Amino acid sequence: MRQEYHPLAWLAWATAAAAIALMTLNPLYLTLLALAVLANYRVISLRSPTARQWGAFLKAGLLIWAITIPFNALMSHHGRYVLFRLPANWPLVGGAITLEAIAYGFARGLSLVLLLMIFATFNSAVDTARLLRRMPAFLYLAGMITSIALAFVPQMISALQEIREAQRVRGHRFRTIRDLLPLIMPLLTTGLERAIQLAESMEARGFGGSAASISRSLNYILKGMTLAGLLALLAGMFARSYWSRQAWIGILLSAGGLLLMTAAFWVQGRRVRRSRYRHELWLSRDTLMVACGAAAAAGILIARALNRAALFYYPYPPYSVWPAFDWRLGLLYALFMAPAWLLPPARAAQPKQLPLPR
Amino acid sequence: MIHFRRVSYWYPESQEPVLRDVSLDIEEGEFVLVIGPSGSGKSTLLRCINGMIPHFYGGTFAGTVRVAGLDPVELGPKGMAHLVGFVLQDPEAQFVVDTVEDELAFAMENQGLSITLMRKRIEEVLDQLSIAHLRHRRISSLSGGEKQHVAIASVLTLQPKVLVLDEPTSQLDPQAAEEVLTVLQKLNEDLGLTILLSEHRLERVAQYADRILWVPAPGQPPALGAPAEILAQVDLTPPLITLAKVLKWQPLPLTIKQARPFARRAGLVREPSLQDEETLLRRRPANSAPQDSLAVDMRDVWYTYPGTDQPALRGIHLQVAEGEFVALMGRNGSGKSTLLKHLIGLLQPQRGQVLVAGHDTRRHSVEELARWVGYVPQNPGALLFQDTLRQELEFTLRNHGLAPRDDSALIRALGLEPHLERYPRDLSVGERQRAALAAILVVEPQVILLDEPTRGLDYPQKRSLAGFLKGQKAQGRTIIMSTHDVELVAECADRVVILGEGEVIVDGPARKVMTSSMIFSSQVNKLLRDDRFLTVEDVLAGMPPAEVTP
Amino acid sequence: MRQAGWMNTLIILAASAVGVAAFLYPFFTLSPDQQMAGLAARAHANDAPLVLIILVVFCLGAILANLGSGEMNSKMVAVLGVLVAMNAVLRAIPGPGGFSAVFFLPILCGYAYGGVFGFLLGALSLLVSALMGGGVGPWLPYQMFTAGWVGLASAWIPDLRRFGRLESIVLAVWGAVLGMVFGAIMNIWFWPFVMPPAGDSTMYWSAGLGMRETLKRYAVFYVATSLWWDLGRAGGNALLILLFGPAVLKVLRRFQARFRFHITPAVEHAGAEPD
Repeated sequence: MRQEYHPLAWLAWATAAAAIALMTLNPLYLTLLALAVLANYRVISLRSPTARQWGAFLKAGLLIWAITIPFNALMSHHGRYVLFRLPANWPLVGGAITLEAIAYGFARGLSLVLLLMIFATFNSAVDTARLLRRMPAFLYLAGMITSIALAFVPQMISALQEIREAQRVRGHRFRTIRDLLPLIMPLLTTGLERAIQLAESMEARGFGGSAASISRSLNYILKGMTLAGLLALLAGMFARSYWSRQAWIGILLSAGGLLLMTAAFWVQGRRVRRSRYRHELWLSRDTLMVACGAAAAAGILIARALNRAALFYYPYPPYSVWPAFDWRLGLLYALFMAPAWLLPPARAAQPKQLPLPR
Repeated sequence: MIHFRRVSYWYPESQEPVLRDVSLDIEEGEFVLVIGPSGSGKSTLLRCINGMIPHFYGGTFAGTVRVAGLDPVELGPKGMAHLVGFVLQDPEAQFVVDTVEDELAFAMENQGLSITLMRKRIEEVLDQLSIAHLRHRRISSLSGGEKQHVAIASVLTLQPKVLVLDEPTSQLDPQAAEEVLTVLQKLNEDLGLTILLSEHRLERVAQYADRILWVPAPGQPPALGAPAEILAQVDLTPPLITLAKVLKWQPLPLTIKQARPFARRAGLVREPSLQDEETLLRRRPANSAPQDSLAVDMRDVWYTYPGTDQPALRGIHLQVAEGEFVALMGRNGSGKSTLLKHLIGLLQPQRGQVLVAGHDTRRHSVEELARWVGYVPQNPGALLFQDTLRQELEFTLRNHGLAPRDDSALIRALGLEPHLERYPRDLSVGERQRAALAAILVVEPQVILLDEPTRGLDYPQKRSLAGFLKGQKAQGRTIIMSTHDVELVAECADRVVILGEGEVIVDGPARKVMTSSMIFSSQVNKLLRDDRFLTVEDVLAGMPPAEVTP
Repeated sequence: MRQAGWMNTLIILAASAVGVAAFLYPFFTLSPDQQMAGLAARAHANDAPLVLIILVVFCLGAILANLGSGEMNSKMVAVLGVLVAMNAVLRAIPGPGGFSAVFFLPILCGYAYGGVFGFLLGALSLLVSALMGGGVGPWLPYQMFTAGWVGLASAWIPDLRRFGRLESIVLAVWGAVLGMVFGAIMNIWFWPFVMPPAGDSTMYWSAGLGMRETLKRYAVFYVATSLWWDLGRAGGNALLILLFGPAVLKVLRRFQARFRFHITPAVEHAGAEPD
């Protein structure tokens, strides 16, 4: 099968990469991380048929980037290096157009594009159906609905085609939006009719709605726990922003809330009397890949803890528009290339059809 | 194994019971065929066995059911799943995940079985049904027959003692249906599984069944007995059995093999010679009709679907005169549907030319052609969407810019008078199909195209469809239908065109073609091998009346 | 299905409050302490989005876990599955000017079948569409939340069946409002990434710039990027509801009977035991 890594390993990698990407604005580090992600993507795309999503992702990212740079340049008139000036009486945009503003927009946009790249790689690398099977037990109903929907989509598309033909041979022409009705209605009705049959087939195979055997009182307790957890979380967030000097109050409240909720989830999951057929093998290279990601993230966090300015980049005065660079940190960013390194070379002659990012 | 005691059941908000005081006993390991017209309560009866009735449908239930000592009414479908496997009709609506292997695991996951046990059972079931090659496939890429195999496999993983199937082959073509039925027979023989199967195609299964359960009508007591005994009482039977009944052959033969000695004794069998087959193939199709009275004229038509490299049609020449009734036959994928779609312009020839009622399909849009050509798609569910049948008819007329007209003759011919104001989706399968016919034919097209019109219909429904089509032909309409249903062809068609790999393999008068073919011939013809006899009526017409009257 | 337990309602509300707080977090960090914190605060400012996304995922989990338990039956699961698939397909069909009909079904189903159904339909159809099209990312939880809310809020409209034409007009207007509000949130998930947190506006924009000015800039940014998009979508959804709402509602109600009545089957035991 084409799955090269465990889906959870990819999830860990993507989370670590995203966390690191969001931690700095330094364009050099961002570029380095982007190159590492791109290397993974190249390796993955040789093996994955779903790599086509890359294009759409990047287009969205580049569009936002393309908007961010001029927007920031026009709105922020701060800085030492003035490129040119717009008449001061123009509302909002009037004033100096500075290099710093452009650099800032560039860096911000780059961090966003990077984020998109990380998740484009993640999406190409992971088979969604398999990811779905990792749905934790307490969410199995949502997982079930999602799985039914995914299985139903191809059917729906062919049904739509059939309906379109059937209405055309009745002389139905597609002229205004109103003419969609003869297409939508049979689709909806056929779908609902099939849903009833599907439910019947599911029940005949022992599916009974909720598989959890939870007594009424336990159900109330669990819901109460979840609710209390959510309220604690909310209180914690407010506390953190209003008494930021006593940050521990907010953090403690939030952590307590999360703990309560996790406990409720755990009990709910335990109560689900269902087993799971699929299990993915966790290989040593999965461990290595996660270890690399974790090590890089930890290293970068430690570096920041030791020197608060290590990752800092802010082009406006009094700081420099030119980013700093430390090669040791750079190496840590490069560690995110791990998935590409650890894989054995792709098996033979897959045509090299890299949809180049536009 | 299965015991019903005075079971009665009323659907919600219904005054009349579907089942009234039904009592019956089915032994372990029996293969029971359940027959009866659509809507007689077959499905209802089957659903009592796993508790779907009343748990899924509501309504009022009285009496007791016991399956291997358990009470489905108390346990519900979920509690019966390990004992009773249930397979439904529609291969499109039974799947929860997108790959075969996971689908097979679904029932076991619901029971919370361990992974090791699940793996073992999946391997076993894959081999039992010989579908190991499908295990990694996506369900959406399977054919209808393969889907039904997977559906059966997905209930077998729980190792039930009883397998209940509600018309599992009605949406399949004969070949696929045969394969499914063979598998069932094997399961019954090899594993001693108790099987209850409701099925319209009696000619295929009657010989496998240990007993037949006949459900005549809602609220009527069903009859359970040996196949020959039950079939002797039932009106609507396959042609072979009808013939045997009329000619009073005893014991009632269920297969061609069993009937042959009777036929031979009656001096009805004839051995066709090789020459017959040769002359048929040498004879070119009738081109004698003058060009201007051709309803359909296909000249060297080629078509390849985008994304494939095998042409679906290769140089088709086909001329159909006005008023002809042509049946297109051939296995799945031989190009029947592709050819029909060319005649309405849904597909355009990549090479060659298609003229329908004198109109070049490339010069007219589908919507215009639909004025002259009525195309009835396979699935009537794809076109019915209005609140009443009358509105459906008006919708079609309005599409063509026509004023509402008097369509009572058409409605009467289709037997739809009582349903004009009903919601079309509430109609039964056969009625829906006729509603679709009405919605297409209300504009009175000169050429009628039908794609598998008998799929899912039972004997009475098929008979009424055949009657209707004959009536249309009598009014001078040209009819071209693609079908697997040899009996329908034997009854109505003048001419048979057999396609293979996108080419016309055989084209000739129905009688000749059907007599010379092993597969595409009717039961009566297979038995007697005489081109004068395609249907029971043909045989009876050639008999002295004394032998016929009971 | 309209009578989902009050606890479920509270859970949805609390979880949504956390979600909203997470979304608006940059606006809260306005205390004077924060502004004094200088470099350290700025260095931390960028962790916020990731932490907040994890919180939002938790809240979504809380809702999905609790809506499922107890109240679901297999028919609801199957019908939801089918409608989710349909909505995901509707979302994928490109309309004029980036318009997609993603809110159409959640609004009508939320109204006809209740808020819980609507929430699940909205939220899960975005999940399915992301899984299909490879759109899984940090934005997904936000999108699921907003689409879920569209379905939930549609259940607030009382049953207007007896008012005939008025029903679809009210739904269309409400749909347009929901489309604007939630469409905006859905499109600007990236704000926290692109725009600096407001709390740091003094440093990031220009000295002495207050929250008001920052908000103004956000507004300009919104008008420049997202507004036209959202207007199109909201208008499109309203138009669809106006045109197809009555017919779709009729079908939904026809089927409602089929998957609801069975909840209390009238089972009556009478007759002899098998002998």
